[in-house]
Amino acid sequence: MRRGLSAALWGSAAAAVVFALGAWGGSVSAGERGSFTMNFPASGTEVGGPSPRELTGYIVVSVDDQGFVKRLVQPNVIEVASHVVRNVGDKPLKIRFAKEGFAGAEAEWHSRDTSFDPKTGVVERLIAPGEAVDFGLLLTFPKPLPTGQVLSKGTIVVADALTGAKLSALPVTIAHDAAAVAGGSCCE
Amino acid sequence: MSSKDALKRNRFARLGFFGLGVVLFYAPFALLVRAAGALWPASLAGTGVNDVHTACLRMPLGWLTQPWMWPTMAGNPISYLPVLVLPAVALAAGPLFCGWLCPAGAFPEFLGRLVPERFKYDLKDHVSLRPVRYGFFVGFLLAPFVSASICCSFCNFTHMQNIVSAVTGDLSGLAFFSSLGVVAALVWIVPLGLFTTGGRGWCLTLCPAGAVQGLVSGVSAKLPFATRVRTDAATCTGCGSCSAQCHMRAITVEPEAETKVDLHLCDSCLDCVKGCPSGSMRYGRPS
Repeated sequence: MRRGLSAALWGSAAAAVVFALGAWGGSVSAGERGSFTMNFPASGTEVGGPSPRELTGYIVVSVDDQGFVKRLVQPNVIEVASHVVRNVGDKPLKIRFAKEGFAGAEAEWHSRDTSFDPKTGVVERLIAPGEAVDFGLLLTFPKPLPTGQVLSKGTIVVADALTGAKLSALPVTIAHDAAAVAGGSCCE
Repeated sequence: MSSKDALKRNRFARLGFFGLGVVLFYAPFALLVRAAGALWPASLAGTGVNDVHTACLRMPLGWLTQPWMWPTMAGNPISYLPVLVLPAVALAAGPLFCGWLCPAGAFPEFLGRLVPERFKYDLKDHVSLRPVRYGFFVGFLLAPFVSASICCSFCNFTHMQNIVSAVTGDLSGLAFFSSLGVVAALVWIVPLGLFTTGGRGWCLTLCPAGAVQGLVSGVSAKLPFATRVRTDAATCTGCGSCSAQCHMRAITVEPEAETKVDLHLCDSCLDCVKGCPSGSMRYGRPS
């Protein structure tokens, strides 16, 4: 009986730690990283979250929501990243990631796809229908972070590397306080 | 061959298998992910993103309590790995993946051997490991409903992938830190790795994939076909060498009592079997 109670207490404490970590992680993540999935050729973006994913059309990262660890070690680097940028069309495409805007930040592309060239943003292989590629855009701001409501604004563009045609675009706003800025509209 | 030599040999063999684990799961190799992509090109494994995230061992377990993710899981055969394949292996032969193939578990274990034992904390002496392991797992399943999921933000597999990528020339994974990511990396490597006896503190307490395999292995241990680490009370001298070698802290040796292996924690690494001087530990079916 006593052993069972002890086990229940240890187990409950462990679960409570997870809930606390989740609450903390959930509250700070919007200030540290923009995470989403993206389709091309298409509009609309699924933004990651704990509940069923919602279709949205923009990302707002509010740096005032950063956790204390992030503030301590690396407050000025924001990542906008996706594990899945998928070709939902019916023909293979060679794509190029491009950015428009993002003034005030140094931007650097990366991907685990070995055919990705971070200098040009081009994924050199053809992406077949249904296939996807991952990417991240690291935005480095000066330290201390600039004041003003909006730190930087820009758009991540997926373009056809051969024709230059725009296949998909995601507006991104890096702000001090997300609630004070308008993100944009969905799926235009 | 002496038990010491046999133990050394077993550890070298395990090290080799952990290397195989890197090649199977982690970019830039990820051979298992590539094979799954070739077999099921229309699934998530066929997306062309060949790293440990595509063969994630955490998300599919989290999806078990998220009905809206079931169609994703059903259409993605590689997600059956943590949900069906590894538990099936654990049912038959114990959690072999944890003890022999998981680089994220092995990394702090082997790194921890560099730290003198006197600086280490033995979780077994202070924490009720089994309830903590399963309590964490229940928390992991329920967190999306109670607070927020920690599936991706508190993941040691991601950090292992970043380490493998960095070693193979891609430093990009080390360029960005998130708050929970920093905490996860530190907890995985420092207090639950380097300074925990056995170096497997994360596996014992915070790994959902390990918890599921431990649960299956533990509850099915008495089935006639279940191959597990077992002790022979008649020949055991109670010397305690098995307990000292057990990185999962699963073995209890008490004076004038039978040596006990907690099969909810044991990862079938066989260090105790190979290192037992009296030969009273075996890996086999119930006698």
